[in-house]
Amino acid sequence: MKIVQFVSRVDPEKCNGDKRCEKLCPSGAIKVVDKIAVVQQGRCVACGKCSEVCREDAVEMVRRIRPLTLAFDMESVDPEKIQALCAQAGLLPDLPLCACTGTTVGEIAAAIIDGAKSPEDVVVGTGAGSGCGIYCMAVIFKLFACAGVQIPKDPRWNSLPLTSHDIPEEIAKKYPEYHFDSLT
Amino acid sequence: MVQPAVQPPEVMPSMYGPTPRTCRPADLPGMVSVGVTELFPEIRKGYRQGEGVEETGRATRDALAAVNMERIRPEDTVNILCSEHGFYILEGLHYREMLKTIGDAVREKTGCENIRYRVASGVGVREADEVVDYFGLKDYLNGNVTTTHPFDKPLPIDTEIGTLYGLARIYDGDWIIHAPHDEPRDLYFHRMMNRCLKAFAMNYARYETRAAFHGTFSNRASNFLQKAIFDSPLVQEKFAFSCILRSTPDGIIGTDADNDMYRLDRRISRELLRDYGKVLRLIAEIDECIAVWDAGRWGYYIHSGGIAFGCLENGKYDAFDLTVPSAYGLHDMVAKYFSGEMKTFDRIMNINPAIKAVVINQAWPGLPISDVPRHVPTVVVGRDQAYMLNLDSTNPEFMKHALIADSLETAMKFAGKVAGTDKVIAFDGSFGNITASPSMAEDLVRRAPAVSRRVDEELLPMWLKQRGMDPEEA
Repeated sequence: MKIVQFVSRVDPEKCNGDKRCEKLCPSGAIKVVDKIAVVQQGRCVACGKCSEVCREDAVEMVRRIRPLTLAFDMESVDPEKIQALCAQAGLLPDLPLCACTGTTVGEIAAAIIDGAKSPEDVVVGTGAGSGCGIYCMAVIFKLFACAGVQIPKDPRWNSLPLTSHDIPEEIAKKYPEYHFDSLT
Repeated sequence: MVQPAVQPPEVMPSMYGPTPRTCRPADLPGMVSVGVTELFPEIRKGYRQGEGVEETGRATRDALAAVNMERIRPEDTVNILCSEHGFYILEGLHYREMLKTIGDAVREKTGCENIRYRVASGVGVREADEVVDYFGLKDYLNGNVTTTHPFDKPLPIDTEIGTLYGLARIYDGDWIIHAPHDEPRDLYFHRMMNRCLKAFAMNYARYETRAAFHGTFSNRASNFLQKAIFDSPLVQEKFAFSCILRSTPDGIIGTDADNDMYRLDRRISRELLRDYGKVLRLIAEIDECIAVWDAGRWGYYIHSGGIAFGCLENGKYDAFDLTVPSAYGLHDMVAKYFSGEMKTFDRIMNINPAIKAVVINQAWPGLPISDVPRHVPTVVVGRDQAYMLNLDSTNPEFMKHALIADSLETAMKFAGKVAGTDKVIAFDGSFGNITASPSMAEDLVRRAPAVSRRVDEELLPMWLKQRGMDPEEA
């Protein structure tokens, strides 16, 4: 779960509509409309990438009037289905895969079972991927792949659902020093 | 052996950190420094900040003299691949000198004029731009410098294990020159396996590849990713040579270069095991301390005596010992959970229980570190630093668990009370010295001889043998 305390705010006088922000936004909250970036507040996860990338300093992070809670209601999904998807991915449901928000594998799995169609949906639905936007993404790709969900093409992501356990046996045998079959 | 506190390297001003502090741990009353080579005289002496930059240039020329550049034609394009990390070793001037000299040497030896720097960031989107401006890289190579970051345009790379993703700008030349530094940093991840290739799965890689390294590959297996990318037909076709900035915990000792990446990696790995092993094991001997973060990068990566804080944090494990299964990250948690060592998943990091408190005088947010204040009393100095941590999306709950002090001195007094120890170690970006409180310095001096003996007689031969290296070889 993540409680989002901030939100992006665009200064239309400074914005030049170059879309750098849009291309980095993990939640699809910021989009350039009529050459000005517009923030959909309900989707902004305050990762700050839009503010960071803007050469015009047109985006600043301001405190929300009411914090936004990013969390998935696990009770809305059959726990057996969550278990099954996690098992298929070779991951433990209770594992907090997102180091930034503590979002668990089970929450991601539940969001996907519930209909998430893209990493963007997972970010908004669970909070995972709303921090650094790096470390947990491989697990998200893996769970989508195991669920059989083809994520849409988008310059913001390339599905890489590869884990060390997916390494073919001949490769693992060729390079035993890398311990592909081990947790460590 | 114990001397008055040595001033640390200056901090580069950055949008990612607070205003550089005027009061550093070395300025606190009573703080002292203990020299790395006084603790371990066999560690090779190096240059510190403000020393030996021209010598690094000369060493680079010497190292490059033996490198074959015949395949580079005058009409080709050459990318010198730079890692943002190299610029924060000491004050970054040695790294810049190495990069400048590589450019000059390639132009002189090949007649090629289209040589470009490609500067890759650690995490943030504009880190590399800041580095280019601060270090004046546009003054070299006719200003032919481009920056890149983990979310930049991808380049699919076909490897032995399938498609991995690099950064398009890194590979957009006919040739690449791999020009990193050798400081071990997060050795709990790389464990000195393909250390010198790591940038291929990290700095030069898109975030998807980095995510696999940290998220879905186990600790030792992850170090295959950089090998897979380096061995790919695409990289092999472009790879010209590598030139690496060399260090010991005492400072910069020159550069090394080779056309054979694996030969270079093995040569450097052997030396890193020898030069860093003792200080690392000494840091692991610390039984209680207050750690201070005080430099211009993320807390994990700030040095004390050439050792990054992350190595203290994870220091109870000997990450050089490949038989030690416990390392770092999610897979480590899972392994411990199954072994019964861990009952719940409440900690992502292996926080060394010797760390009794952390004081953050200055450090960048931007990497997930919330486990620190959740499990260790943490004091943040200054409201500007606290504001940055509050705003930091990678640590949304950090300031819920940390306290704010208006000055470093106040923070240290408070930390001392809650930690119940007067042993302080400053991670202030230093190589060559560990700045500490007198009690900590005395403790390090007392422990060093036994550590030295154990590394010489037991650990170093084991580390080398585990990597197929002959301990008897000079």
